[in-house]
Amino acid sequence: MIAPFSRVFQLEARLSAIAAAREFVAQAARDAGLSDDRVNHAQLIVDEHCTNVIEHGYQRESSEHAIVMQCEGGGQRLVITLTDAGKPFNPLTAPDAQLHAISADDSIGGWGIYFIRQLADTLEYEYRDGTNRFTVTLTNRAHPS
Amino acid sequence: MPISLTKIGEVPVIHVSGWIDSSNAPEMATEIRAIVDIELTDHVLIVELSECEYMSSAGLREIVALYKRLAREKRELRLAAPSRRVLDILEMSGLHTVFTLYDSITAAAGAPTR
Repeated sequence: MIAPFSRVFQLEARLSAIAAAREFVAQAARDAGLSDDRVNHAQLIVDEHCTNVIEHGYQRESSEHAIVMQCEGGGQRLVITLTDAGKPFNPLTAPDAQLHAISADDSIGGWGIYFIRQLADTLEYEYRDGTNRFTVTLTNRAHPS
Repeated sequence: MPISLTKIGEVPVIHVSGWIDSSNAPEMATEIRAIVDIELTDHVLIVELSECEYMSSAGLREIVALYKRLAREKRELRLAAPSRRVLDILEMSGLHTVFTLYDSITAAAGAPTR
């Protein structure tokens, strides 16, 4: 059993950088003792949040901007804290996808936020001193998917 | 993110493999559109996903766009053999009730036209 740990990963605000963040959080989730399903969920949550930060928070890809991810794990529990300096973007209040939207002419959006809300045990958000701080907790609890 | 094309009779089968996320979903969509423009002469398009290891909402959004385009053209999108991980995301989104899913390419090709 791995002792409780805290690790930090920083990625450039580029969509192509998200794959490395997924790998990093997957290892952290495994080391924290999460099940394979929950490891997959951690990857999806980080992917979706980072995509939203780049596309909506920073509003463009840029090597000059960054997202910092801290993973604190142990005892079948992983706490992921993602910070960025983009526009205030609150994933807890942003609109999520509605299935009926598939019949509308508008492009579909918001699935990512919907998935994050479905998969996380807890979510916290704050904007302070120009920084978005989004904290997600994952355990091996039963989940809807 | 390899995309490849085979055919069963006149029905194009697009095979999507690898990891589909926001960095490559637009490229996937462009490649699929090009195939559809050239190869789809009949009613049905099959997208086969057994080797698709991962799909984020960015990929899902492109599949939805494809579904809507084909529906407008009175054509039919059939998803065949989604991997466990892709099936999970389809079920979580509820889109498994919208798309027509088949266990295999053979089943997708053999189903009656709607």
